[in-house]
Amino acid sequence: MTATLSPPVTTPPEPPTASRIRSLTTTIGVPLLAVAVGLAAGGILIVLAGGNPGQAYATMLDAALGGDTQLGRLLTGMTPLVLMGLGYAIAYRTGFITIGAQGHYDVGAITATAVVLSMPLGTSWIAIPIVAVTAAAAGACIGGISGVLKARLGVNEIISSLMLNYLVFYTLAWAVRKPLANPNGFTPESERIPDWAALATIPGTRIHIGVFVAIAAVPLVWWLMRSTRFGFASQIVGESPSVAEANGISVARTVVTSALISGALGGIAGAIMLLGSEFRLSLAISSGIGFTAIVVALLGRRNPFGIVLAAALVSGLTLGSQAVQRTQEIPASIGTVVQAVMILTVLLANRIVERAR
Amino acid sequence: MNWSNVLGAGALVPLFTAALRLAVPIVLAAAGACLAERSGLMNLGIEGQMMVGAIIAFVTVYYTGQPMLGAVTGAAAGLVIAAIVGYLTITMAVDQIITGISVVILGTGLASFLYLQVFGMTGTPPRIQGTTPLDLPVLSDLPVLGPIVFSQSPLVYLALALVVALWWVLTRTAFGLSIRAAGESPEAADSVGVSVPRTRWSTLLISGAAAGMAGALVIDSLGFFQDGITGGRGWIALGVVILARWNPLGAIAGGFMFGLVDAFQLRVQAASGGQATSVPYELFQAMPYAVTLLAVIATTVWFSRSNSPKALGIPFVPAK
Amino acid sequence: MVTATSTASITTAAGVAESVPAEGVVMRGIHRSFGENTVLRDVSLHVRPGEVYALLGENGAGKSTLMRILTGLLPPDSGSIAVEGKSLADGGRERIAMVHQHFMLVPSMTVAENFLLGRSRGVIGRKRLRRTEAEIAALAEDTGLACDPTARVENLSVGEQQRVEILRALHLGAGYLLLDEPTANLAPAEVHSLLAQVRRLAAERAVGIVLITHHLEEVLEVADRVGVLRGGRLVAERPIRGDGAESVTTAELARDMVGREVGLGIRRAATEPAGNRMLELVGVSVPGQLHDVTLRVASGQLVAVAGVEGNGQSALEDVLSGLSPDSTGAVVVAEREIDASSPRAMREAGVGIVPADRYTRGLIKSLGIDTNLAIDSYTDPPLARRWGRLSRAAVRERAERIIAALSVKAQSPRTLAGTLSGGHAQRVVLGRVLDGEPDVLVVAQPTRGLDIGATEFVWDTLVDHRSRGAAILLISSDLDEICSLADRIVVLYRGRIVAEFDEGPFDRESLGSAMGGFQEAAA
Repeated sequence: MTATLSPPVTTPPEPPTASRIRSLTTTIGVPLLAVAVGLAAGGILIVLAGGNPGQAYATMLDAALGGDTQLGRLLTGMTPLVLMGLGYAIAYRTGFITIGAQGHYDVGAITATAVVLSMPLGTSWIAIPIVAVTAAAAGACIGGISGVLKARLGVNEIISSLMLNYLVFYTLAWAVRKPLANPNGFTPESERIPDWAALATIPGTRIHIGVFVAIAAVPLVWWLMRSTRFGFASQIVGESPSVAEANGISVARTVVTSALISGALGGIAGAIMLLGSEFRLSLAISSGIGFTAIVVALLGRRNPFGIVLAAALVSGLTLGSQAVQRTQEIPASIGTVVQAVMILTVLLANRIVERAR
Repeated sequence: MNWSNVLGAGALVPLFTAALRLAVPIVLAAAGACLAERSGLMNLGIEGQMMVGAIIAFVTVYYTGQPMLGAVTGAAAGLVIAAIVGYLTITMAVDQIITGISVVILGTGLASFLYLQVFGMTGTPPRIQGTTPLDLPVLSDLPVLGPIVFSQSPLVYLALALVVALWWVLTRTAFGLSIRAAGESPEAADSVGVSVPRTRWSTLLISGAAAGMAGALVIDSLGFFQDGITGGRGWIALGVVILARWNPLGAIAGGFMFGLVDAFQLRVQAASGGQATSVPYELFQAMPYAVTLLAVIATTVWFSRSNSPKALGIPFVPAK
Repeated sequence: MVTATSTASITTAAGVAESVPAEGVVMRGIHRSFGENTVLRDVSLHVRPGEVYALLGENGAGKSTLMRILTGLLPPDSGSIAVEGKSLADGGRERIAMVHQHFMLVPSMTVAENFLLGRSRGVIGRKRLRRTEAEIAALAEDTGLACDPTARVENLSVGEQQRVEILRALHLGAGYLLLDEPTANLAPAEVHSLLAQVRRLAAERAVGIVLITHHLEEVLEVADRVGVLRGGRLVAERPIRGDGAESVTTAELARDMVGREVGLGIRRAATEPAGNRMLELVGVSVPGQLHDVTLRVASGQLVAVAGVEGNGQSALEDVLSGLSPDSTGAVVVAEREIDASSPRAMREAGVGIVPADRYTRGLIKSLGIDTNLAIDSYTDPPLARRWGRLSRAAVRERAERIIAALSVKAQSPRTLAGTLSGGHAQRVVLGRVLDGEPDVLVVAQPTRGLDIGATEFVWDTLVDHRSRGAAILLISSDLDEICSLADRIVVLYRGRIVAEFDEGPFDRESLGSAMGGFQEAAA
């Protein structure tokens, strides 16, 4: 195709040093800038709330990294964020933008509770594999619905995944009120899971072994994207579905597969959190962590290792803002605002770097 | 429970009246979004704009007692948040979807923060008085239609009038022509001197203001504020845009359908008195979302998205 | 030729006052660089009212930049532009209009709405629309450019849309039209029609027309003068009609454009083809697009499917790509019927395809060349390993090999495909297809958008493969290309094969007529 009325299309390739500087700026400089701007915005809000930014951030830092217990909480908090962030990244790679993480997470938690409470007796050794499979399957189903709707019918996945989130939420609401309800509880919640079902913790800490699942998932997903045929096909499909189809790559199959994987990861995240730190099903489970995971994925530039760093940052921010709300009466929502400001800064800064060619 | 309380002859008119009232915020937000999407811009941040509009309107009405003023300040707040989306997506040509999602997070957080700032963490949540329904002379005496359409709050009339105005602008003005061109073939529009960025800025700000005002309408209807008060209406509005096939007048029908389901499920909950019914009431609570999903699927399949603006979601960089 | 008698004074880019002819469009001493790249050197041009001036030049010769300067989108570094004695800023700009190769019309709106776009304010009610439609009808009548103002642009043919563009330009008061590759998508009959309209506009309304084209035959048919840009300089200006007209041949023009003898001549197979039937289509039909297409290609033979785009070429390409699920009829390769239901099946049967839409089917601009080169082969060894794995090393090796084989100009295999020029992008696509050593090669519009040098390369590659025994099916609308390469020609019109030409030299007139649907009476 000739675009005859545009300037010479072949932009001369950049000298290697310039492009190395550019990629360094994007990988390190931009995230640092984003953190700085985000914290500055948070600082403004803290001042507005009548607090002292220095004090507030000190509290937050302490809450995140202040000691072993804090680090433990940080790691446990990171686990679902990493898993769901990876799920988002895998789906996005095929051009499938799902915001269904919350629904996958919720359904995973529901499944874990249901399975464990319905087993009359057992051990962790039996429970965990069964829960893992069923929770992953449940999450995959939900994710798969959105995927199939998009791939076969062209239905916008943002709207379908969001509506499914609400449907799962109301299923959760019903589950804790009726079938799984705790007869002795006051608020709608399920019974506590039996002790044998709870995830083991690393001796000497309160970090449950679910953390290892997240740790293992990172290189696994990196390998998936880089060195498998599915990873290769995902990229093609995401960049140009028409070229993919023309060369025999099934866009539908690739998209649905990525949706299934994404859903499964979310389901596993929910199950891990239930068996590892929540121990009972309640409405509080559906806390918006799904959206937070998307924030993590965006900040981490959809790169597995970036997602880990972003998860640490966001988890620390969440813990910190909760602490600050407890001790200094500064609303915890500043954490959300800071996260949003960080993403917006990343988007803007990357754009500026791109344009400075 | 007594179903005739919900669906009986005497209950239908109140049902439909409530339906229209509940529908209007979505209709308004969707109509604004229609314009933005017709110009090629996906304003996914609507939920965030609605949230901020809601809190600003709430504070305004709480302190001034003027619901109309609340609608105006709510619209202004929505407009400001939309400006953030505009700067990123139009001026800097950043991806519209991610920007929208981020702005929703931002708006939700800001709204929550503002609420706590102004009202603190008190025991009894503050409430405002909503607008009282205004019976239009003559019209409100019509059978059936009278009470349903012409005995609504002045804000509802305002919103519906705005929706019609938006339709008129889109289809009967030169600006509307530019909007449609910007969304179908931005290069063609650019080549005849239409400023695609400026057109998109205009529609985006309109959409933000509409969303903000919609938030004010929600507050007016409910009388209080809490986190998540908009309940996903912003997202539903985006679904309604698809249902309406990008026509503001169509948004009235699409939004009304949602309002009807919403009104229905509220009445079911009230009628059952919170007691156990054979069908769990969560099913009814979930109905609006299920119906929206099914409706979007149906519209997408039967009309095969051929109506969606061709340049939707694609950033446009004017050839310099 | 009328010589200008009156002059006017304008200021050059350097701020100096200069005297220029007051008639027509005058460009003097135009210089333009982008950074270190000098794109235009001292270009001077004078287009008189009522004159048809053809501008020739390869991609990269500076045509686009010159046009952008002329339409005021870009300022020159030095030199002056005057339109009827006025500078561009001083009102001259309004008198010039550009009709682009890819039309700047909004498809979903009507002709009248497209006229009003960007040119009106306030309310547009029924009355105003009717008024505009009437104005358009009157102008169409006046100029002989038939047009229905109430029609939606997307329902108009390419030729009709082009007329709308021209009418719009005239309606806005343009006295000088710049037509960019106007015949690129027209049927031969429509081409003649357009060229006649161009001459009529020039003669009757004294519109000055600059025709940017690379169809050398058309230049000779319609232009009063032709200018050739090469390397940013106007290297030749030849009068074709009127005073001092020279008789110019297309070979001379081609030489001016490229600066050397260009081997664009006939390249038919030297020997008789092997006589076998490597590729055969028997009664292939696609509902609504192709009807009962039967053709055959032997090894070592190049058969061209000639036709104006829109007559079933895409459907034919789809069938041969394995992307046509509802096609009927048989596709036979090496005398065995194959299952043409998927791209993979076609590839395994030994059919390689170079698609017409390079960037919709062939390459992904935002990915590296190595990735692009692996798209069709990543499911097979050596790129594929067991258990779903992919060998990155094998991907890179393959890329390096193909890049070398076709001399693709790229810094590294990981360079993004979008940075390649059209010609080199096509090399990548060719390289990928040829690496599979297909017995049958299907190429659709292979030189579309390519300059002469790149075209030469593609033709040489095709000829080379033909001589090595490949059976080649060329789907093309380019008469030059068809006549130069084909051993046999079949003409596709409205989805049917309507004519066959069994051996060269081919009569371009009959070929053109057949492509336009006119059946020739037996000579």
